[in-house]
Amino acid sequence: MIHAPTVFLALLAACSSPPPTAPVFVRDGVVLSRAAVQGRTLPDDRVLVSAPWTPGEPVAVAGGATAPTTASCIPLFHVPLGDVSRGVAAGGAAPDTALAFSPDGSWLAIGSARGEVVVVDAWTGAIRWRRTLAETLLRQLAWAPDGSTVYAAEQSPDAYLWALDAVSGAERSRLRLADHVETSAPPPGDDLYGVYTLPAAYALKVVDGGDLIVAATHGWSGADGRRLNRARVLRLAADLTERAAWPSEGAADAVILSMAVDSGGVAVSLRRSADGPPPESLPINGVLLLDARLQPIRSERYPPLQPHFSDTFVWQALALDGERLVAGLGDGRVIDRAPGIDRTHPLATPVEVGDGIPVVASVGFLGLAEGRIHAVTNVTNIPWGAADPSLRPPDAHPGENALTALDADDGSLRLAWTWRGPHRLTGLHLSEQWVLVGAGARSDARTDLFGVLAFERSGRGSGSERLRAACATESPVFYAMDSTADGRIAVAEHPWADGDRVRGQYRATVLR
Amino acid sequence: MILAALMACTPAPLELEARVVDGGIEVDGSRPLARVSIAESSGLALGETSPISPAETAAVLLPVRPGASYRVLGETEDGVVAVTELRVPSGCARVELEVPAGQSRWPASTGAWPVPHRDGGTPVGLRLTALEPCTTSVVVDGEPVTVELPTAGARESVIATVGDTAVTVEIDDLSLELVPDPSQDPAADLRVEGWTFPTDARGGYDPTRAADRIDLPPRWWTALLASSGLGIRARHDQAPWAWQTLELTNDADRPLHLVVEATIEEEGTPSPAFRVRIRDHAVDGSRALVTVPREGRAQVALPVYVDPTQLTGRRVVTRRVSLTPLGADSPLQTLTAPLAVSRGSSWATAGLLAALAVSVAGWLGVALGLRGLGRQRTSDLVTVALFASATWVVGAAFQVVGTTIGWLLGPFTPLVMGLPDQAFRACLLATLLTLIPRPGVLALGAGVGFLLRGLTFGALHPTDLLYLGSAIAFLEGGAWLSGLTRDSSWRDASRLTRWLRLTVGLAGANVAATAVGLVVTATLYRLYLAEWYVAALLLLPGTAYVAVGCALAVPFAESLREVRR
Repeated sequence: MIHAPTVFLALLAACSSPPPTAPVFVRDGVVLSRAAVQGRTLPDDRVLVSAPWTPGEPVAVAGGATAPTTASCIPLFHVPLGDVSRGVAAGGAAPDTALAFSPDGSWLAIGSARGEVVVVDAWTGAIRWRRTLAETLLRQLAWAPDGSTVYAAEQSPDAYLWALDAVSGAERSRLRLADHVETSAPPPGDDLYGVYTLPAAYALKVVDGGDLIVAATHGWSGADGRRLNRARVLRLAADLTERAAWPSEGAADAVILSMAVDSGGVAVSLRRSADGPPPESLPINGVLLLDARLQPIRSERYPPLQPHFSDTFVWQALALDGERLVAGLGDGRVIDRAPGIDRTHPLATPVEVGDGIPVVASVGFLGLAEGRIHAVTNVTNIPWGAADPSLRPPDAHPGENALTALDADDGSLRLAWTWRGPHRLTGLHLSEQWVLVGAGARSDARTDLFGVLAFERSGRGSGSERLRAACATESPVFYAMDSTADGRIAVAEHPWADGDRVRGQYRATVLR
Repeated sequence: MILAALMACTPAPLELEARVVDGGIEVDGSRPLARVSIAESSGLALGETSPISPAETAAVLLPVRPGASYRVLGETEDGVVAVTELRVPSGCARVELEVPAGQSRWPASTGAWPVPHRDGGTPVGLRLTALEPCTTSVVVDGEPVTVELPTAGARESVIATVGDTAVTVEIDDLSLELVPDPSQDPAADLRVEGWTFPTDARGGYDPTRAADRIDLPPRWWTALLASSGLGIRARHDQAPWAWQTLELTNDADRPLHLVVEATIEEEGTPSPAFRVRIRDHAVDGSRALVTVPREGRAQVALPVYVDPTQLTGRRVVTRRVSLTPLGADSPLQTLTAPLAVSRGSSWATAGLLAALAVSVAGWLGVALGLRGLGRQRTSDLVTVALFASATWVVGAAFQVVGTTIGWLLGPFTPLVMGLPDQAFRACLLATLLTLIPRPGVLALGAGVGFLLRGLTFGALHPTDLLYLGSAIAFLEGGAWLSGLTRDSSWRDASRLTRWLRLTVGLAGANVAATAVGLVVTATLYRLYLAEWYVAALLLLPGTAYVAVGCALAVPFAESLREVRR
């Protein structure tokens, strides 16, 4: 006799599908169930086997399965970084987060907007130590070349630079950057952007030999309402003692937006928001190139792009290779200079659409690898200096929201390849093999377009042909990211406002 | 039951719609998609995506070839599969239309496209994105425009302006006819449901500030704090003073992309005191882009900046907001509203200083009076303590009741609960003063009452030093000026005279003490109450309720005196 409820349950069970067991093709590898082969065991007990594969061809280690055109990505682990939903709900920007893999790729250091420094196992996410620094935002992180020390730089009234033991998190030494660029009082708690008026290290790099280069900067309003700027570049020994500084005495009357470092020198992009006339000696809105001892070598000034701009600026789009200095400008230009060389590419410079209405897309991020420039442009806007400030962008700039590669070709820069897609691009990270671009917060309700896009750096082909993986995340990613030589990518996901709701989590995620 | 179970297993069908987008192919599903895969028509798999959470739209990133056909397979979380075909036009570039330019973008297809009419012509955006490197031609009304697309993904835009007659556009095998259509009128579909100032950045009303006005502290107060290093950190010069928020509704069946522009004007021109400082450039107004969804609502909050150094005295300026479709050169709607601007009340600051001085005087009086406390008769001290305790009991009881019903009465609680509270309090003080008409009695009673309240409710705050000192000074001063503590003969006067004296003395003190509280909230807590509310507080709990209490106290004190005799 057949029992009716049994049949009912059996039919319901038939509606559910079995768990997937198919191999997952990731970049230069395949993820298989544990029983299949030997490899690196992942946190979910699957095994990652290193095995380069070619699209459309069978892969032996995957049981002869045919490789797909594009690779998948799997999240290895997440590290929760606390609740920042209040700031997001209030309309704040993505929380600043610093990420840095240790030199051997074993550990990942995370610095959060809530002042936490966390060091985790970079394969499993197991927490090695977690330390909260008081009343601060973690602005920059770096590892000592031997992996023994984690350097963490604050944005806070004191702007401490910490040298922390990589094993225990214990303090080894610290340096108060506010002693170099002055301090200012904490902003009111409801001032979403007030933290950015506190002193901070806007860039931190460890160079050969273990020295640190720190770009300390501070732009704030004094008690009398006057706007003030201070900036200083420091070269520090591993124990944070000062080896050299620019300016050698006191701080410069400017702010540093970004810094690029190579073995021979340091480039800093300068801007100024202080009241009063700017110092003549500084390349305000340009770039100052310093040697390894932080002595000025040359200044690069970028004339404003008339008639639409009265000045310009270099934000995160700065790269240095020996004497070659490449800058992506707020007016959409990419300028590549070295002694005797001056190349410019009008990547997203103002173009007139409609009845003479200019639109522009600024160059947000830029990197230089083996002579090739990679640049990410922002979305369209109208130049502030446009003749009629009431004009509106009637159309998107053709060069907006794109990843573009440029090659130097005698006296000019030539378009090598470009990619644009439905994602909102943010951030750029160049590794030995990959060009990584983040996909950040959007103005629409789409939730399937967050994550990281991985493009082959070398070889030939268009942007779409170079795209090897679209690594999806649950939430938008912050522009800062890091990667290891074996293909792991660390990103910071952050919540976003979806109407009156705040969705997503603030966490670090490692993808492979 | 089996039939029901079988029906439960029957999922809703899935329908797919695929299109070429930047970077690949995007697929809309009639149900959330858990997986989308793309294959060549031959069956060769090209790419797939599995959104982390099933989504109604999913994009598969891959190179798209002109003229190719793709087999698109979509799958829901419960295993329902649907397949559709996507044929890519043979042109080397993908063409999209914005009608008018700046509004939503649509894949171009051969045929007629209605275009809203605007004076001077309507710009229509034509956007070409290369699927492969090529040089192509856009022919607008017979005029060819050559477009160079050097690599796949490269993009160019062309604008065609549509006047009173139709415009033809030909791009490769596409043939478009842009037809002016006067019946399309976005202005008729756009409604402004609300316009609020001040709000926070999310559009929520800011109840801590007065509506439709800007109150700034007096210059000398700001200068004093700046020079002394006291006060809070100076406002960032690029931080907005507040926000104003519009609620918009779009009745049309397509989204409306707008530029919302706000200025604050004085005598018809943008006021320099309200210019927007962004990236160290000052511009006349703030602007925001907003998309009002089709048949939907949208909210937009615009920052309001204030440069206090350019504002003196009181004035009324004009808030102006214009709503302009993206790409258009004239607004659909323009709204104006008055905005009152004033420097923070110098009266309030002067009042605070005066209150501080009075409070100091009150505490000096207490210090001097304490020396004579030991010489007071024990019976008098017991009487004072008894009445102070009774005052506290009455006050505590009404505080509990007031807290309980405060949720119902809200800001009207002091006006309603003040009647029994203030009347009983005044009645007890007036009776006490009638029994012991000497300087220091009210001060002692007020001090005992304060200590009892503080110890029982934990309501001790540094500003209480100001409140208590000034209250003692006002009570003692009022009683002395009205003759209540200068001699005791008034106790034998007529009832009306006694009531008048008590009312003048106690109500005057109570009005002054209430005013001190208002001045403190205005100067220290930036809480500005409506003028009518201030007047009501001063007239009712401050004066009228005390007068009622004094009226009750006259016969009550008289009977107590009879008993004492």
